[in-house]
Amino acid sequence: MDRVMEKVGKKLLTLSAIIATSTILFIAIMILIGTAPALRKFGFSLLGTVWNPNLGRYGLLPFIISSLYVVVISLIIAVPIGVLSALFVVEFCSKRIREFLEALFQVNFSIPSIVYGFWALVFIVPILREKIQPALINYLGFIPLFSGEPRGFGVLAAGIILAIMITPLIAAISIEVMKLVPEELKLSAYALGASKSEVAFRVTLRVAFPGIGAAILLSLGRAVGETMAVLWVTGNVAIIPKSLFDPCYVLTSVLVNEFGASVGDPYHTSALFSIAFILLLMSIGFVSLSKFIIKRIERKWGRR
Amino acid sequence: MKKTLKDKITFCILAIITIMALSPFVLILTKMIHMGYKYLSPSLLTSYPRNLGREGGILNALAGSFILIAVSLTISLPICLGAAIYLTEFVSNKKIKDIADSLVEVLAGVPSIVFGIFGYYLFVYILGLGFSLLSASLTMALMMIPIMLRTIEETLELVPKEIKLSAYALGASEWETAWSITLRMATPGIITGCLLSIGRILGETAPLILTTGYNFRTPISFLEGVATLTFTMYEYIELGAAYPELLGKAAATSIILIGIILAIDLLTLYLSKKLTRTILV
Repeated sequence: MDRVMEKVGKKLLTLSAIIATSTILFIAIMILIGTAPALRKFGFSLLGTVWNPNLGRYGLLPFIISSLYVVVISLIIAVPIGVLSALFVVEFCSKRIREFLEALFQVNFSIPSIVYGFWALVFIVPILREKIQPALINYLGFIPLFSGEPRGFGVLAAGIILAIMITPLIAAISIEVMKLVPEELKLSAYALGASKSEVAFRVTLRVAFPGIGAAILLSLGRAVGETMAVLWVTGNVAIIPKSLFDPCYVLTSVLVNEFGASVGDPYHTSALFSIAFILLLMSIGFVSLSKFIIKRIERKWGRR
Repeated sequence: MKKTLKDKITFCILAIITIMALSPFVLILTKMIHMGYKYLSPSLLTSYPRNLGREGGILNALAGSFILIAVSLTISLPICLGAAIYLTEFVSNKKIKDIADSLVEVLAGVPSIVFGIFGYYLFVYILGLGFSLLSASLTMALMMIPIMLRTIEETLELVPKEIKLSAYALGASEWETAWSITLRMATPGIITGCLLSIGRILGETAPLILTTGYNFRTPISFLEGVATLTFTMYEYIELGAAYPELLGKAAATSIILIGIILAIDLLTLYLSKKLTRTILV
């Protein structure tokens, strides 16, 4: 009797292992199949610049460029802040304060993305519209990047809120990587007469560089796939944004706004599936690459 | 002398940057409290919404969040537990284990909106479950897999080999050892895995927009829609242009949500400390 139980039990275990590991394959295959009709009908015109489902125009370029633009802006803001605060936590803080600050980063990280999105809508957008953008346009308006109308909504607002969201992530991973930098290296620099800030910037930061690269890639993957934080602040206009103040429409927002209503129009659904496919490719690519780098670093220096 | 001055300046600059990096939490909380304090009262948590949410509380969302978590855990926990035991105890080929682990890792990188598309198309549309508690829970259960499976696997791997070997020496079978030794020792880790994935589900919105219909009451059937705290925020913010008082309600909801998530964070921290104490020492 026990033997039978054991056999059934083992079968169940195998089954659950198969379910858990094949979910990603299911998702990928279903989205790939969903993409096929649009790809067959439109081919390369999917990379067009006009998105108008009512007229049967399915150009995805505005969304792709909006997403990349917003993510690049967010990285430009978040990377220096995240990396430098990690350096501060690792090199300039006692163990006690370090643990406390790490917990605070964790707290920042666990705020739900919809709360970030809501806050961006009621706090960042008005400030940009009434204070920051008019000033920038006044003084720097001759640069194309800072031209346009002070709408508040747009590339800059989305970039800022994404930057705020991913800074704790970049900081947390950079802290982990910087902790792995061998103590001997730092001690030998001190022995050569280096000051604390020289050790921080010339040893820790430089040795941890590949790991910081991994942190940036991971947050890139997160930022591209982020939905709720940017949904209400981009303005959701399907154009190719040029200035920082232009409204835009990112990949994830189109999916939220249009997917439910698209079923019934096979080509519309299929075009949206191809957006999902692009998102899947980007985030899986960035995330796996960063995990690969982190694993190599851990193997090189060992866990501590 | 010059060196120490330079160190001090660096210290100050970096400290300011760190404070900048950590300040959003305070700014967000202040703004939410400023907008929502009028609506924070016991009745917010104990009454159902009336008049499209303009009056009454958010009991439907609070209950809905817990029901959604309970149902998705019931689906996801057995799968993850089984898969973790299988992968740590019964797979001896290292290559297969590595492939399985990296498949799960890739799943962790899938954006939540893509889970939403998958859930909508498969559960709502093809399987005909409609916008319902069941569709939402199935989608959420899939999203839980990476965090939960990895946490459980890591704890199972921490269980000392000697204890398992002693069980074998006493005549226990592979199955008995896995069930009554390994699993029992890993309980705190399993609970941590559950808590971590609950934290993720609580804060998730995008996949819910595509899989659960709204509900002003507590669902009594699996095929009814369900409201959650995040989804209620979404609905209220979307309607906020027409009814500004709903934005205040959304802010109050966000305070409740942040409170619950921080409590879960603390509990997780406490448990993982306890875990390292019992197993490693």
